Amino acid sequence: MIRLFGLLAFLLPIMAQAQQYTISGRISSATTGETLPGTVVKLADGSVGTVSNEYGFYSLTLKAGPRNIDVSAIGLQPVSFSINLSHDTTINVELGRQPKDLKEVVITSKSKGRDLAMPQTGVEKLSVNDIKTIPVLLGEKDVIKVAQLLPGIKSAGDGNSGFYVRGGSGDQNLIQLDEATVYNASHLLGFFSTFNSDAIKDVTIYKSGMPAQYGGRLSSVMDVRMNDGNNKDYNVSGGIGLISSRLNIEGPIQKDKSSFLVSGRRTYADMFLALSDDPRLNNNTLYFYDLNAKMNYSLGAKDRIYLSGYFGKDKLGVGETFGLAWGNSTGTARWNHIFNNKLFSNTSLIYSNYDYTISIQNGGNNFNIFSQIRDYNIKEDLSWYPNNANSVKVGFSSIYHTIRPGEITASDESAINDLIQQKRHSLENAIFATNTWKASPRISVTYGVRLTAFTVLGAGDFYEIDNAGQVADTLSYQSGQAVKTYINPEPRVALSYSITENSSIKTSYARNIQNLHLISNSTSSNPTDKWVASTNNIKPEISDQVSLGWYKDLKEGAYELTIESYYKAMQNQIDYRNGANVFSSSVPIDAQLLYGVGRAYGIEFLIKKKVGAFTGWVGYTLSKTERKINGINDNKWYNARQDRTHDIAVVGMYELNKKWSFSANWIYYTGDAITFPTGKYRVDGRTVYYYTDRNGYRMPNYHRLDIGATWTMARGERKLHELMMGVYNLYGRENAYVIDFRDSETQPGQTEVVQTALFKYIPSITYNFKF
Amino acid sequence: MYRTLRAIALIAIPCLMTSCEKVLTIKPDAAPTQPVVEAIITNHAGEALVVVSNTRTFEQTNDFEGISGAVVSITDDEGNITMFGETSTGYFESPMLQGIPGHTYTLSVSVNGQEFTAVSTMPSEVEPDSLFARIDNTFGEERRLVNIVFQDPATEKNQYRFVQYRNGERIDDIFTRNDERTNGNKITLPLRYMAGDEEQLQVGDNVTVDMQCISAEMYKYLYGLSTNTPGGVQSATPANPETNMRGGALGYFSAHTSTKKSLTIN
Repeated sequence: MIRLFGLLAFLLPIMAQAQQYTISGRISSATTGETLPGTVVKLADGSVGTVSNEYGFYSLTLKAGPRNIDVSAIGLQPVSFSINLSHDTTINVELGRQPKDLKEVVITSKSKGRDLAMPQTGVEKLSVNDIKTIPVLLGEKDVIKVAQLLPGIKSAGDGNSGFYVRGGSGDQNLIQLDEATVYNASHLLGFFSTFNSDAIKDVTIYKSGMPAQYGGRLSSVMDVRMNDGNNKDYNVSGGIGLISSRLNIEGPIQKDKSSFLVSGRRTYADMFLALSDDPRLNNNTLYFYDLNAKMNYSLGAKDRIYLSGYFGKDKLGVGETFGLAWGNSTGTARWNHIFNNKLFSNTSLIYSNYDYTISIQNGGNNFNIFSQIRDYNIKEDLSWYPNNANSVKVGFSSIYHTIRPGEITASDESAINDLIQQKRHSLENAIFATNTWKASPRISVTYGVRLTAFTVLGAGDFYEIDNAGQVADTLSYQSGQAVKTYINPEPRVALSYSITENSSIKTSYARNIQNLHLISNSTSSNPTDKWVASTNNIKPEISDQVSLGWYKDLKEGAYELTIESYYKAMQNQIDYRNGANVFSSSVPIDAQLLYGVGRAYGIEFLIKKKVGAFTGWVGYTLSKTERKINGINDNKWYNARQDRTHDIAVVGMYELNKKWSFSANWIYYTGDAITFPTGKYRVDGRTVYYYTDRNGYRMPNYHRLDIGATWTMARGERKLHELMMGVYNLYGRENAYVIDFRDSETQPGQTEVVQTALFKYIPSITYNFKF
Repeated sequence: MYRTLRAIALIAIPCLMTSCEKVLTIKPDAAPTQPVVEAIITNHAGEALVVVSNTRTFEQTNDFEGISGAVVSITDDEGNITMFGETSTGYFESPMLQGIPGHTYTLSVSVNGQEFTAVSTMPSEVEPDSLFARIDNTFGEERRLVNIVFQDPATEKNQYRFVQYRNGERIDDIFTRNDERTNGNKITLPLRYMAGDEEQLQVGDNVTVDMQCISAEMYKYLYGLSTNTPGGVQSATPANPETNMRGGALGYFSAHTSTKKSLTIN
């Protein structure tokens, strides 16, 4: 390890150093004790500064002598202190909440948003506090749905929590909760996300230039961090809404040292179903619940342990005959260790699981289907701050994946036979190293590499597939035997240049590799979608993205303007052969796939107003996303389903007074690309549609307006009563959810195109409390 | 599986929200006309039929006219050629031709200077043991369904298609099964289909079930046919069913067995 650092130090640009000392420590909230990542710590003159890492740790090396230091974070009261620096010093800082009345006054803080000087491109940060008043479907606060209002991040459909980033597909987003991969981040057939906003601290989304510590997906990283729990005071908060209720309990285990948090949510749509007279409804089950729990424990000044877990389940049932239960569970154990004032370590042990069970009782044909993906992951991240010009991250990650594609079990009396598809095992190893170097006061560079080695492991049968999609040969492997190893370096480079104090340009390049692929028979997320690992036939997906942006703060940071463009090339993209039945257990999945390339490019505009009674943003994206797959569309380029030329979101929040605040958002985007028949014929006594061009047509353009109002009945340091009301799709736009073709009933002999819309004027009301 | 999910989504969603339908006026381009061949041969004489037609554009009416004057033949695996006669425009029949399970047949259609061929092997016959009607309430709603009982042979892969006729009228639903999960078992299968209130089976109805043993290619073709329209929640991109016709025609050639059984619901 020391040798590695020696090597790294050698690689780092050499700096002439005067007598210098390091200030380091943790930054946390004065009211809750939550650690504060992303906090700016800098000299009062702005010449030298740093940002706290994801665990609130910072390290700043300064020349000896008297120094004035400012510490500031979004929405919190900045702290300044003076120190006469004569030796290495540990200073832990607590930031208090900004007094509410001052909100309009304090507009000079430079910390209210993205960091102009950092090379990171394409990053969006959302804290749950920032988004709580934005109106959403049925009043379920949802970080993913708010993220969809940002440029470059598109919703998978009306009311859907799935999303597409810069032309990627839904499975190309790495969604992590406290570092654990969440394989299916949606509830209730996609209408809600698995993230209960009560338990979430913040969300960071990387659309380009992903830092080297992240890997495994092509198009984005959504890093969701759970709250640590209040280590000052006990708190009970919660809410009662139209479709769900929430309860959140947190408090200190040892005051100021350790804390816990338990947060739960359950929907009760099925209780409404039970009230219905309609026998088709009142026999049915339809609900989900989430449970988040976390605790952290301080083992002295240098060590801290975090344990966090998530468990969620959806249940859907039709009478006695059909049941579908699915859910994720994750667990993360983390150990933070401060080696010294320049070296911070985090070691994580991570467990992640997604499974579903289908049970069918159909006369004599009773059976269950079970499918699962499970990960065990060990991860080590080291943050090293050798001097103020460099901050280094190195580490490794090793994940053991087990996939159980489908296991059918039936009772002895059933006409269905047991059928166990072979388990699939794989090992995903990665090492990474990256450095952010402040080359000059104006130029910063982040450069690094991630090296991924993905090993497909036996036991099991693997196939050689011929061009026609037939199995040419079957190869059997023993347990633990390597079938294939894919080694891929993923270089990541980013550069920023500060043009003036309040404007900069940044550019980045990143390669990403993806070895787990989602197989789905639909265009958006279904509980029964299957993850498959790369095999001898399914090659790792590769993307290369370049991004260039211009960033400007206006009116002393009251407004921020971002313009970013990107070009992304993707290889080894997957699609299905015509007539593929991906749930067949007799035809191997490898034999049903086709491969090709993709490209996506676009430009994104975002203007944000961040302070004052009125806040909000306007985002606009102009983009193109295409695929070219061998065997589809005559091997010519075609629009990806999620190709949307224009995408606009306007979000506004207005705080009228201490009691009332209002919000609204308006969304407009070009309709999804879809395939229309260009002819029809008669076969088997029915009208059959003839297709020529893949995705050559458009659904109608999508738009809607949502409004919301929050009535704060009482608010105190530890007390809150508020009522949130909203209407989704206020003007009742019928947005096409499905487009279908059928023989017309009103005009016999004619074919008609029919759209089905889902959500029209959906009101919501939620009561939130805290005591 | 997907159908079940879709059915549930359709039941579940309206209780959360108001879903509504609207007819759109979208005019897709017209692709050049394509020839269509639909051909079957069964294990009964008089059932061999070949229909030759053309595609029409999306905007035209559904008046699918046959193409006259095609030269149609079926050759068995012993080299015997049977020529078909045109009985009405685009309809070609051979009253004596009877297929035998286990034999392979080659279709040849020559029309307007083009030649289309296809090959199909007739699977062995599996006969139904019995039919019975029973009240079913799978989706919370009571309806009468006909159930078919049959013994699946353990020694081979089987694909089945069931066509129901209610009082002589075909029920317009594609119902197929294979023995991927049921190989070698005695199977009781409720023949469920999508139906409005008027299409439900009533006491006194006469129901005939045509149990067909179809080839693996035909099974796949019918799967493609059933997913040919987007028609559902979050469905995949629609595509042309994969045909076994060579030479550029749409459609299929199927050699299958057919066994009919009837009951009157009481």
